[in-house]
Amino acid sequence: MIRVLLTNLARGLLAIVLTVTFVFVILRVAGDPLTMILPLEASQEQVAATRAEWGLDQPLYVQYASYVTKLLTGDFGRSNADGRPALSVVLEKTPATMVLMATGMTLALVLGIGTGMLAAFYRGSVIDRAIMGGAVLVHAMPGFLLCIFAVLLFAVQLGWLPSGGGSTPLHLIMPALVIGLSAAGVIARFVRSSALEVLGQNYIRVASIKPLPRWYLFAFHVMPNASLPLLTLVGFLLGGMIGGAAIVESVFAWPGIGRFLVTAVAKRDLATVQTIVILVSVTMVTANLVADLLYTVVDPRLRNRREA
Amino acid sequence: MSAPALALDGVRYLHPQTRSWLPWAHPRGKATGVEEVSLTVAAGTTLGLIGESGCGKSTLASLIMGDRVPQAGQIALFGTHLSQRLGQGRKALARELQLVAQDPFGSMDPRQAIGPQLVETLDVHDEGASTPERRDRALAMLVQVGLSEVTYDRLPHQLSGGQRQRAAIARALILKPKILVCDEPVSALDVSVQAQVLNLLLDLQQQMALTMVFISHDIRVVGHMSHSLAVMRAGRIVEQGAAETVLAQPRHDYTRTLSAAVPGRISRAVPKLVPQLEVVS
Amino acid sequence: MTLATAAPPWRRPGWLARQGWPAIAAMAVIALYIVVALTAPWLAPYDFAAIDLVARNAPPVGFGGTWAHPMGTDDLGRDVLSRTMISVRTSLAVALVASLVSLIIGVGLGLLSARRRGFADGAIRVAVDVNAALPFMILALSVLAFFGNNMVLFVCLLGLYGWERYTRLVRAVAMAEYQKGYVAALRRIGASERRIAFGHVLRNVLPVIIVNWTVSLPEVILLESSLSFLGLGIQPPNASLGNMVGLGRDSVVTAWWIATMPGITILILTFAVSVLGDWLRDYTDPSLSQG
Repeated sequence: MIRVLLTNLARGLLAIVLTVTFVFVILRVAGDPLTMILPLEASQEQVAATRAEWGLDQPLYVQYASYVTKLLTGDFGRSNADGRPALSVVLEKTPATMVLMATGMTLALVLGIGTGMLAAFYRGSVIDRAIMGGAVLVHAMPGFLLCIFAVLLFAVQLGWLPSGGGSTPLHLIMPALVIGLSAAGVIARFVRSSALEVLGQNYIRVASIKPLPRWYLFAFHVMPNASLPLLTLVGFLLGGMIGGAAIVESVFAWPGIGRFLVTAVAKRDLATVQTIVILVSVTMVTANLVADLLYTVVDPRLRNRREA
Repeated sequence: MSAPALALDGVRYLHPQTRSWLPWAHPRGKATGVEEVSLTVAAGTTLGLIGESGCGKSTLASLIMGDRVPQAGQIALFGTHLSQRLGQGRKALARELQLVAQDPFGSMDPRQAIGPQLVETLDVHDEGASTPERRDRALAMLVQVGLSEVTYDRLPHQLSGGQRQRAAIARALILKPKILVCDEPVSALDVSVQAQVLNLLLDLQQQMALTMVFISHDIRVVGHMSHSLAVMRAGRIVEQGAAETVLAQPRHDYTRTLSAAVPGRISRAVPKLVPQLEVVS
Repeated sequence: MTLATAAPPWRRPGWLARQGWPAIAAMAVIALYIVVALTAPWLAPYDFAAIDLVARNAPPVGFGGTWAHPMGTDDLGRDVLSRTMISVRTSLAVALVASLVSLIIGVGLGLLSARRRGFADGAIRVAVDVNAALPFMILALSVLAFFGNNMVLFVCLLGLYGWERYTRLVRAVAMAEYQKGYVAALRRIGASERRIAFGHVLRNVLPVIIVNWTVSLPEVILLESSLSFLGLGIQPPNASLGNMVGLGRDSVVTAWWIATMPGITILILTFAVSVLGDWLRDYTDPSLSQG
């Protein structure tokens, strides 16, 4: 098992290294890298000094080495917006997105597992088909449309929730709901098919001999076993949510890095963009590694290879 | 005397054994494959190769077909070494040497109709001047193996086992090869159908002057078809000779065991070999 | 000699009616969209850029508007219905091209990695890892940031979406196919590797490819419209469903139809393709089929 984990770790690190290289390459290809390091109003001496400092007159591999060194020491360049170090600016905005992600993921899990189980429990009935139809609909729905519908319903028509901003927990509800809903659709479909698979297994047939009500069987035998494989989806779900965060934060003016990324792209604030890209890839790789690790720990079948 | 159709001399091919990661472990069990085999097959005759599963017969078949390279020894077709022939390209070899395999389903593309697969064989070799001509040849071949013309458009799963095997034979023979290797061609068929396919092969041998290598674990089947017989065990030939001789007076214990396991006489369909072509073991 | 050949099942009469109403409805909707996409410049009642300040912000029919503008008008008086039709054309064209590019790349790599183990396989595995490390949206945004906006770049970028799913699927199926007896038989006949790959293996892999394409096409449509919505994809004056919603976003409180009409249009399209994809997956499932 250790060998598998080490391999995964190596692959993850390789992916990060390649992402960093990718960013480096397109930075150089995109044009004068100085535009990303200095604010627009830099003086000639500053330009010359930075050019020398960053070694931009050096051969490419030297530049690459110094680039990586700078990254490792936390120097990601300066944001165009206010001239502050890009890393600090981005890290400032990260908590807001993390709150959004956590809430959204929780909602998605609760909603997704709940409806998925319901659909499996009432398999073949109207409830099942309605839930599955809803899941497909939510998957087909563009994120931004869902945001607009939410705003129209809750903010404009009902006036319950504010339509934008990020100051109060009330502001959190709609963005988290939108992000959670799309993930919930995927989770529901997955959980349903996983539950149906579990139902066909022999150990459930044995358990159902006991005089237990069906819902009990579901809650304590089927659900835990069916939900476990969700860990394999974590990477996919997280990626989707991060991608969706860019849109959702933009529409609801939630002050996270998703929205910051979009505005940075529009303003060609390359330092910020590069920071966010690298940060996201590190997060994704870590999340995938953790999920793999958790899965082997939690699933006793995989833990003891000898029995296999 | 002209060169025999097929000659194997000291051929050896042992399957690589799985090795453990630990440096002190040694591979377990015996190596399987062909230890040392020498055979000759005269043109126009059938060599029957009997042996139980695991004795190396299929490995030998793949060596003869050129799918594997022998680790030692030589294989020659009509006097030319197989490696030389392969050097000229698989296509050239395909015109001389073909195989009918045990699993008829396996040798056909499940999503293509039988007829087009035959036509494709001709197509690969640029035989026939035009598509209608190739189609006619394919149809003729189907009839020759005893299938009706309707089979042309059928998919493999729509045919019975015996019909599929006939189709596989048609495909093998459409290029009119000189040597046909049959690796357990009837083992997967019902007993009643086996006789039909065997008789078909005998007829085709006569019509096309084929040299055949007929491999089976069933001594009755092999005995029925062959001019000369070779008995294989654990990668070696333990006895070989004219079929009648081997069957009537087996010299090796193993051969005796094989014949004894079969109740009744083994019927023979091919004539006795002419003396100067007899192979001495 | 003529032979009577059995017709493939979908040419036999009554086949369509037996497929179940969701699939039929989905096919009808998609057919409608294709017709609109092909004929939009002639079918649309107004020119999509025609400004009519008198009829500004007219609501759609049923909400106080008239049949002159069934879907209402935007703040420059442009007819929303006509603009939506033209946008369908743009969005469908972009999505089709991009999804086919991704298909070709993915299938090509999949076939390659099924044949050649070792280096190519490893390289492809690494590429898949990198892909998993970066959500496509983030990647797209960063490329657009670094290279700015132009149509060709945008379509190429979209063409890079989802190739790894094709590669994974094709590799798995192709590897299984290559193990099958008919490949060995074909080699023995002397068929070239190219003939085997394109003439036989590919044909057996095709159903899986098509099903995956029906799954990824809606995702590409959503991706394009999301990026255009943010103002980073297809730019005005070109009309795409996404950028229409983006432009209508500010007036969503006062003139909700400007954003919602194109939005719902996207939704119906992607929903229909998803339903069709599900049906297709069941239809081509060998464990359920004939023979």
